[in-house]
Formats: sequence, structure tokens, C-alpha cells
Amino acid sequence: MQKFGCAVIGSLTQRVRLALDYKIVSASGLFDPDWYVKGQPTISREYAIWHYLRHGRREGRSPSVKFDSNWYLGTYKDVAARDIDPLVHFLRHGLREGRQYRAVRESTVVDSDEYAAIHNSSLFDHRWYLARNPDVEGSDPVEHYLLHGAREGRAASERFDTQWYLARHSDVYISGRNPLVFHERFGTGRETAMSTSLQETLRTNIADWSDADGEIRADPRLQNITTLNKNGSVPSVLVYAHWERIFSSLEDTYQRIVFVPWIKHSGADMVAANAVKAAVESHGIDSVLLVVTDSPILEGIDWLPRGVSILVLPKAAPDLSHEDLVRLAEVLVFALRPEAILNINSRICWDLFATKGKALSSFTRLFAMLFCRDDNNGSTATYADTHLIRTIEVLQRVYIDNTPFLEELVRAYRLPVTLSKKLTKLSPPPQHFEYRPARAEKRRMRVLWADGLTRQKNIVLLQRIIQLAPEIDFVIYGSGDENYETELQLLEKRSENVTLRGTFSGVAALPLSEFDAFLFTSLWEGMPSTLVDIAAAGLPVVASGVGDIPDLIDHTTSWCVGDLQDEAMYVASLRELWHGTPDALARAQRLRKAVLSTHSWPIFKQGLSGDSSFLGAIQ
Amino acid sequence: MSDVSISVILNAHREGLIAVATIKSIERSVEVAAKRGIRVEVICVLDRGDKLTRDVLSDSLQRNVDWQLLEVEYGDLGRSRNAGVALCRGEWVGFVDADDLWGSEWLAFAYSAATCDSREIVWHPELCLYFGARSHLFLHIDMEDAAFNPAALAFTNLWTALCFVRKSTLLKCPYRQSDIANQIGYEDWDWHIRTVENGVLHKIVRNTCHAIRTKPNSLVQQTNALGCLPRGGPLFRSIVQNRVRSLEKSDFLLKAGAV
Repeated sequence: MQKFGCAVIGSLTQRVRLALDYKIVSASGLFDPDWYVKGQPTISREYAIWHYLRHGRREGRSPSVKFDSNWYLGTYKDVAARDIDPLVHFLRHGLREGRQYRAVRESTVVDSDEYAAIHNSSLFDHRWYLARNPDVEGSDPVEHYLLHGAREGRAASERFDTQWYLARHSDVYISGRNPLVFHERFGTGRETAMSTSLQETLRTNIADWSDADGEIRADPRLQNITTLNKNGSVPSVLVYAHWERIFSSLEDTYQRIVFVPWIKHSGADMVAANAVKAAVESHGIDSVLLVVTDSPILEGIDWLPRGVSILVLPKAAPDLSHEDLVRLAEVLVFALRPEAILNINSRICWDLFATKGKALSSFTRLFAMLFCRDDNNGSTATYADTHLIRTIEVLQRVYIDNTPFLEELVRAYRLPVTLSKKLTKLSPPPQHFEYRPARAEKRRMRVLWADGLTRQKNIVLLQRIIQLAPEIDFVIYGSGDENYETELQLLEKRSENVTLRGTFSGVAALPLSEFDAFLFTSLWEGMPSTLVDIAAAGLPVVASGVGDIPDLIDHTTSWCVGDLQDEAMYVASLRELWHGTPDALARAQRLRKAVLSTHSWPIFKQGLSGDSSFLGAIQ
Repeated sequence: MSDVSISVILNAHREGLIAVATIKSIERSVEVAAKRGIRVEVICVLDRGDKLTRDVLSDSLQRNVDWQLLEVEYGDLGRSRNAGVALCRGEWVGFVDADDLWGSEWLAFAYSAATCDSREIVWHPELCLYFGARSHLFLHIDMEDAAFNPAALAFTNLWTALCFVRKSTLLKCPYRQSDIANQIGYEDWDWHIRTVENGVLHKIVRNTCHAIRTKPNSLVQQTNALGCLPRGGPLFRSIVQNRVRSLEKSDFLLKAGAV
């Protein structure tokens, strides 16, 4: 009875004190209800002062941005030792005693709403955080937790174990939000630390296991289970977060995947577009997925069949390392289990083949395309040298666009028949353009040159040709190496017989009928699709005799130059072509016929078809 | 009809004396289960074992009733597990590898959870303590957790192999053989994918834990180093095929002609 009476009196005293505290706090100008409830959806603005007086102090909250409770208690230890609210203490005693107060440090480097959400969270213990993390001393603990602590897996308090929270709730990492901010906004009811019952079970078992297992007994790390790192079944890693987003966006299961580094306007990109087109024709628009792995450049997207799906990894996962992108490609293939994969110059896909090729071959068929050598910072090594020799066993077939390169690989790597028969020549199909010669008397000869401005294309020789033939007008399409662009611009300024027209998006964009001849100056080649397209259109050609070109272009079909550095040979061929125009047109027609007999859409598609081919057996 | 409720399958290889701690943890767990009236048998499957491990297991057979030893020469964990299953008399099966440890509560709690839920479920402990070369805590995810996404199973193995499951599930969906030379491994990951594919749930038993020994050169690490993948199956394709397409379009999955 006595006890009950004391409780009533105690309760009455507390209520009276609370009412007085409410009055003094609300009149102080140091309580901001709007700031106090920021990030705390469960506390109403009207109830804010009551909440502060009843719970706020114990939860380490500050009443407003003007008054930092934690600083006040940290500075005046005598106040911290007493069970009194810091703001109430300041207003009743501190002010009179000349004590200072400080504003909550509002960070300029973190989001102010997130800062307030953590600062005001009952699950963030400022003093505990500083005591637990001595390296944070002198820093603002809230700012530290937002900028570093959460990412480093540091706990916010005994009641909020960041690692546990992330391990238990894998969607939080995927959301990309700070775990405590996430919890305050959306996490009602979620477990924030290991339950005491599970801690007890684990401690009991560790004690049991220690009796029988020396390794457990000898490991001091196991004595304090709360400091052990925690992981969940679902890893908190960026590459997984991207995978989940990609998987949820997939619209079809796709029977075939084509990997490319980008979609530019180059010959290899045209071949890729044609491979996709062939797959679409054979199996339907939803059957193929084009995966772009290295660069978000999509300028050649207009070459692709309308409606085909394109997954652009650099857009989906712009922040991943090469290794993580290979992993992403691996998981994509593992999940989709396509019937076939075709790699056209994607390093990520080549690395995937090299590291997981055997495993992938257990459920899909692997294919690759190779082109001629290229000049890569002084090296002419290609994927044929760096990856083919490690992957050819797991590849079903390797498509190569020219015979000389195919034969070179067989020779260089002494491929046994079992492997060399996997190398298959695949001629790119021509696009169909019409050339209508528009010759008028007393007109100057007009020559078209269209290609990339790279060392391979012998731009130095091109400039010498232009200078050696002032009576011929040269129109240059293309872009590339800045030095070559500058050299050609200077030449254009001082020579009247050259015009630069910049980049072009393919032969379709070239006004072929304006010209009398096409000049091709490459130092090395496979079978360039531009040349195939132009030859198929019927425009007379003067070309370097490299790669597979001499198979098509000889003195009966065009003008083929053997000495790749002799500008006089090229100019002589152009002049001969111009002065014997009827013969030039006849040769061009023979070239056209020859090209169409070996390079056509049915031939290309047939090359990709069959039991051991990318398209499989076509019904 | 057997009066054995749970069959424990202890998969051993060449663990030697390390297996003693495992055996003791099984004995404690069996004892706790026995106090609740649950009868347990233990089948030790020794696959290409050495003499010391055989001696350790034989010693356990002498100390315990309802223990038996099966020796096989598969060199394959999946086949060894299946061989153990073929001998099981219990309705329920619990797996343990001879270098890992069960918490004493495991069998009793798992049995209680399993018998209270009639659905087809594979049960896992809530927590695993990894110890040895590396130490950390590993929290298993429950498929009925709101955060569970089956896409994760294509990315990683979500559960350890030390599960508790109805024998009929194992007969319907046995483990598949690995082929490490051809980069096919992770018999347990593969089995997890296939059970989910077959509509089986994977859930956790609250307040239970196991201890998993980490070694510098474990089978898992060898499998990782060789670039292995599980065999896998059509699970993820069927998820894509059967789900309702989102109307929200991503900026990374495009359609040619729509850009």
C-alpha cells in the first residue's frame, strides 16, 4: 500500500516536472519540431516536444539544429552523470552558470535529410559510436557513419548492427541507401541486430564445440561473437545489385546471344548486325539478344533489325571493373542458357570463354568471329593470338572473313585437323546499292575514298596519291586518328583537288553515282565489307592487293595494286581507269558478278547454318 | 515401418581426427533429439577414405547403436550423398560433412519445424559460424523472406549443404555428379537450383547454428579456382517466361528502332 502511494506521488511529481519542462522548452526557441521529426515518420509534429522529453534524451536526440545535446553532454560530464535532459539543464542552470551550447554540425558533404534521420534516430548512439570507434574521435559521428561507417560495416549502436542488417535484409544493399536511413524510412518491424536468443544459442554451441575442436578453442576471435564479420546468403556487392536489376528487366529468354564491344559503323559491326539479322530471320525477333559489353556507343544501331533486344552493359553497370563485367556476363549466360553464343570482338566475352568455356559448353554452344589483324599501339596481336588458342577446344566454330588470315592461324599455331576444321571462312554479304555512272564530257575525274582514318588505311600514301594527281578530284569520307584528320585538313586547305566530308554511317550514306572510281589503300585487310558493298554496286575499284582482296580484284575485274607504298602505281591505275572508261565499266560489271557469286545474303546465312553452326539446323 | 525418424548422413573422405569433433557434435545433437523422443540413425558414407578416417568412424560405430558405415569409391560428394540416402530408414534426412559441426539443438529444432509444416521444404540453420582459415558469421536467407529474389541463386549458392529434408524429396530430386575436369562442380548449389525449380521451398530453422570449417585448400576453393559452375537448369528461364512483364522500361535494355 505504501509502495503504491509512493508510486502515485512519484508519478505525479514526474508529470508536474514534465509539464514545467514542456513549458520552458517550448518557449526557449531552441526546440524545432519540424527538424526533430525529420526522417521520423512515426513521430508527429504536435507530439514532438513530448517525445523529446520522454525519450529523446535517452535516445541521444537533439531538440533542434541549434542545440547539440550530444556535444553538451560530452562537454559537461557532470550533467551527463545526472539523469537530466541537457536542454532543460541548460535552460534552468547552464545559462546562468555561463555554460555554452553548440549547434548540431550540419554537414555540407552529406544529404541534410539523411543527416537528420540518423542524428535523430533512436538506433544511432553518438557516444557509443565514438567510444567503439576511437579513430572517429574529433569527427562528427553522424557524418562519419553516413560517409564511411555504414560502408565499412560499423554498427550504429548496440541495437543497430549494420552488417547484420545488410546480411539479413539483402534488399537494403540493392536499394543503395544507407542502412539506418533505410530502416528509419521503410524498415518498421525489421530485425536490426542478432536476437539475444540466437546469440545465446551460438555462445552455448561455441562452448560445446570448443570442448572437441582445438581450432575453435584456440581462436580468440570466436570469444566475442558481436565483433565477427557478418555476411548473408545474398552478397552485398555491386555486381550482384546490377545482376538483380538486369534479371528483373529481361523480357524474353532468348535462344541466341551475340556479344559485341559496341555498335559503331565499322565492318565488324556490320557483320554483327548481319549475324543478328540472320538469327532473327531464322528464329524470330525475340530469339536473339545483342549484348554490348565495352562502350555505350550505339551509332550503328540503325543497322540492326527493328525490335531486336539490346542489353547495354556499360549503361546497366557503368561502375563495374572488367572482372565484374565478365562475372555479370557469366551469370547472364548461366541463367538464360541460350542455345548458342556468338562473340564478335567482345573482350569480356572472350575472357568469359577463356575462364568458363568448358562449363558453359555443357549447356550452350560457343562461337566466335575473327577478322584480320589490326594495328593496336604497335602490336598486331588479335584475339586470335591472345584468346583463340586458349578457347578453340570449347568453341564449336570460329568464323573468319578471309582465307589468308585463316591459313596464317593454322600455320602459326600448327593447328591439328580436329581444330583447324573449326575455322570457317564466312564472307560478309553485300548491301545492295545501285551505281549509275554519270559521266559527262569535259569533266574532271572524281574518286571516292571512304574508310577509317587509321594507320591500317595508309593515310600517308593517300596524301601522296592526292598530291601526285592534281587533275583528279578526291572526296574523302571517314574519321579516326586526330593526327590524320589534321594532316588531311591541311592538305584540303592547300590543294584544290581534295574535299573532306567527315564521318559516314556506311556505304548506304555514300552518293556513289557522283564518282568514277573507288580508291582503297589499306596496308592489310581481311575482306572489308565497304569494298564488298561498293564492288557489288558496280563502281570501278582501284585497291591494294591485301588479304582476300586479290581473290576478287585482279586486272580483269578492277585495278589491283601490289606495291602498297607506291603512289605512282595507284595514280597510274586511276588514270588508266579514267581514260578507258568503257573498259572500266566492263571490269566493274565483272567484279560485281564475281562478288555476288561469293558474297550474298543466302551464302552468308548458309555459312551460319548447320548442326555445328551458330544458327543451328534451319528447318 | 521403421521407428527411425531421422537418418543422419555423415559424408567423410580423409578428414582423419578432425572428424572426431564432427562426430561429437552429431552425438550431442542426437542426444538432444532423443530426449524429445526422436529416434535417429547415422549413416557414415566414406568416399575414397583413408585408414585414419576409417578408424575414427569405426570407433564411433562401436560407441553408438544405430550407426553404420558405407564405403564407396566415387570421389564425388553428390553420389556419396545419394548412396547414403538409399540406406536411410528415416522419413527425414540430415546431412553433415565430416569437418563441419552441428549445434546441439539442430536435429530437434529442425525436426520440430519440419513436422509442423506439411509443405515440401528443405531446412537450413539460421546461422553458420565459419571458422579456421577465415572466420565470420553467415546468415541463411529464407525463401519466404520479403527480400528473397530467386535471381540470387544464379549468382551464388545461397545455402550450405548441411540441410534437413524429407527423404522423398531426395529420392525425387537426387544430387547430380560433378565433373570437375569439365568445370562442373558445386553439387549442393546445383541441387538447390533444381529443388527450387521443382517447387521446393528452402527455409531457415530459427535459433539454430552450424559451424563450417574453412581450410586453405578446401574442395570449394579448388572448385572456385577451376572456374566451375553448377550444372544448373531451366529455373531462371522459366521465371522470365512466366512472370508478368514490367511496364517500366530500363535505360539499358533497348529495342533497335525504338532509340
